[in-house]
Amino acid sequence: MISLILNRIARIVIHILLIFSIFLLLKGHNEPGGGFIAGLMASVSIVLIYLTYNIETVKKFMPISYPAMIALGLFFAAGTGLGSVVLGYPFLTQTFDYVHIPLVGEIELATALIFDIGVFLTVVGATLLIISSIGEGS
Amino acid sequence: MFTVVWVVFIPFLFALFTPLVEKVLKDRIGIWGIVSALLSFGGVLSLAGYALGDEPLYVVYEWAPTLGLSFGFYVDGLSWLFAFLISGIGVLINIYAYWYLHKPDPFGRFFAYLLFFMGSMLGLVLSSNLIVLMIFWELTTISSFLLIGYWHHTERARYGAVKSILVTALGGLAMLGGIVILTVIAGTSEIPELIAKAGMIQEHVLFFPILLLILLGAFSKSAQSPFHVWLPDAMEAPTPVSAFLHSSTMVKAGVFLIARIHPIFSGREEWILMVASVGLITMVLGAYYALRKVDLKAILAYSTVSQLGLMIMALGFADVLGAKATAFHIMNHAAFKGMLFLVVGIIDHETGTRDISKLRGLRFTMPKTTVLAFIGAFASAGIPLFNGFLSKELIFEAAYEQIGVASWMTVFPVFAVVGSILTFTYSMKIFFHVFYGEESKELPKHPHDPPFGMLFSPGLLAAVTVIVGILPFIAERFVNAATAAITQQHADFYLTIWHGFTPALWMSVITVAVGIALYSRRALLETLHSKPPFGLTVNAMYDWWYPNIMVGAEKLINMFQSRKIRFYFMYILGMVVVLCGWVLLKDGHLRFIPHDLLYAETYEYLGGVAFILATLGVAFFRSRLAKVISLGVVGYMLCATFILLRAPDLALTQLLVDIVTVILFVLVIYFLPQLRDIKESVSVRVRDILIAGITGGFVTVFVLAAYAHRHTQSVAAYFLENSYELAGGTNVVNVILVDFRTFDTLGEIIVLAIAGLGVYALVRLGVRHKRKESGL
Repeated sequence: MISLILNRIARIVIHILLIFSIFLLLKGHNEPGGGFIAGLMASVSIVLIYLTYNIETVKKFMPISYPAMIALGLFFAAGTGLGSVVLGYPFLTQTFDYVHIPLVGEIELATALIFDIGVFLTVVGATLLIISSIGEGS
Repeated sequence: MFTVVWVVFIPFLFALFTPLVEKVLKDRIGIWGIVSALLSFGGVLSLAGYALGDEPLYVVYEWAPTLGLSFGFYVDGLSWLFAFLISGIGVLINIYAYWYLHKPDPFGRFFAYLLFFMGSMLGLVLSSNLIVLMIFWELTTISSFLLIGYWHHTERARYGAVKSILVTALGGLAMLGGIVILTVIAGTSEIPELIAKAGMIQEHVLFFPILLLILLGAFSKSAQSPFHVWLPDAMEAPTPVSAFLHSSTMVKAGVFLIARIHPIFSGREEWILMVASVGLITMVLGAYYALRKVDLKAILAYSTVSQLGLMIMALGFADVLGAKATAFHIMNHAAFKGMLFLVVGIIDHETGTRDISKLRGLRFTMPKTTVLAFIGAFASAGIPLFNGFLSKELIFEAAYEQIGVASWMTVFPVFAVVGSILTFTYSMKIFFHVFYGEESKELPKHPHDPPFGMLFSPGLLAAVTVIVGILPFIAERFVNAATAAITQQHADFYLTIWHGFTPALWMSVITVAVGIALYSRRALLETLHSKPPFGLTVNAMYDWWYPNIMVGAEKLINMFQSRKIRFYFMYILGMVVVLCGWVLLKDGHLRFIPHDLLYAETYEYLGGVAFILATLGVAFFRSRLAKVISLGVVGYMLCATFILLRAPDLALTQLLVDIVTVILFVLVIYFLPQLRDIKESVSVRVRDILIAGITGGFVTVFVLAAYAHRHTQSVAAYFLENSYELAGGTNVVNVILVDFRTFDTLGEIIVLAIAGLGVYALVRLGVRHKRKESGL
């Protein structure tokens, strides 16, 4: 059974939620947010699709294998660590710099962000994997 | 500098990428293994300068300096000799295996395991740190387990694999204990530093326990009696593996370790008593068993046991002569025994059997193989012009010298001759019985010489056997370098075939004469096959011990893993109360400071009341859904608390986690049966109430006591001050997660990933199981 109200609202809200989760991810270093929170936010918004429609719609919306997503996340996270080892620093040393881009202004580029993207992907992958496998079990 | 690191890690890297490369190379994946082995071998060759020069290479990378751990490599005569053998024979074995393996065996897995082993073994011999050595040591045990169990569809292979890992890991555990004690008393685990402190270690009260524990590890790995039981069963592995791991390299790890710790421990009587005696017993027993066997591989397995005993005995003499004999015999044995195994592999491959009673007259059909077997068997028997003769005579010489040390030590030369007579006899049996006589008609396959690829590796080893046997001075520099490393004294020997009429020569003459006599009475030997060995065998003990230990282990596990979540909670909460409570009481942290506990705003009181009510709801509501919603309320109240305490990150996380949890619960409830009214007995209820009450009470006291410690320096200050400066972020919570404590976060997401995959696997398996049951 699909609720009409939920259906209409979900269609709009889902995009806002996903964009907001990316906002949280990028802003995390300086404002509340970060990879973990953003990952949960993104998972919750996908779960909203699942609750409103069904598992097939989720698969159509996001045709990705969740285990692959987890692997990619861990790859990013561990990769930043190995990167620092290759450059001769201790494992997982992070660095940052500020870059000036015309019109946009000064922005910060940090390797911590790559790590945080890894966290984000792992959280989304694991949460959705758990929910979808239990949901599919029915 | 870097070469030594590459030598060790190239095989690991190649092993890691084998599955990917297999998709491209398919059945030719063996090439990948050959390339890897060649790279490592080239690296080892380029390190030869350090081994043969005066100054060994010693590279140290810091690993965990606070624990005094470093990742170090040490290349001297001894470790280089081993690395040379491992990588060199590794190349030959990879070439041989390329031709040996047959479909449908998974090729990629074989070469991945083989390279994994090669890297571990190279790491073992090249590391300068005993702890690092220990890690590589156990890696070789694991790879050996995987390779023995390669044909895991046969019951014997599984039995052999489990046996090998149990016996060697048991010894490994003892060895770890010994290494830890040694590290503690000497204050270092670096081998060169330990050698410098040898005097202090030999004076120490714990000298004997340390030596005993480390030797247990070495003996179990090198299959010394009574731990030899695992090696014959390890012969279930494919023959290239037997030739590589279980004769020429891995089983010599124990010999290597004894040689490595030789300068630290030798010099006291315990050394001679334990090392030399165990070696002697193993040598004689192994040779005797080898004589009784009919399976060619079993004969070679026991023969390896016996030869390892011979080497360990010579090391036990704790003098330069013994060290030199061992170093030379390590090389020679690796060549001729590895080659014999490969020849047996060919015989097995081409005739379909390894049973010596079926194999006759192969010289007619397999002339090339016959030549190889001739060289191998005669080297093993210790006949002049083959390398085995030279090193065996050196061992005779070293054993003979012992008579001068103490009169009881006369047993060594006597039994060395006895063991060699037996060795001579079974070596002759391998060759003449299998290759001479009437041609056998009842073989499973029609035999013929194998393709060139399978002859190449044993052929090269045979060439080495003969060349070193005739021109031994080629090996002089390597043997001298290794001897110097074992004894820490300058060694300058000459290796020649002819020494004059020395006692060692007469011992060789006796060996050959009695050996021929014994072989000509082989009808007598045949009766040995049918006779059982001594009543109580170590194998019988193992077979009794193994099922019992499994049952015991299961009982122990069941005690902790009751499969009931309430018991798990009991353990967890109980441990929290006991451990934290203990720390509180022990150091006198249990004190309170007076403050106005009851001061709070009205809305805070309201929140608190809601908090308590919701918690009670979780405990007392009767429907699952109501419980879950109540739990959600508890979560949101916690979230509200975080907001009041101005922790937006925590509040956000808590909010989202709560949403996910509630959704998960709702999904799961669908599958769960209705809640039943469980009639618990009074005692169970009292117990549960007590646990709940004590835990709750304890947490309250703990929080109040923690309040009294607020004046101590908080870590928060450091993070607040340095967050922007060092990490360029103003959100301290996030900076801690991704900058200051990244390693923790990495660990956490790995746990999360494992949990996710675990649930996925469980549900999937459950579904498949159900389908199977319903016949779909």
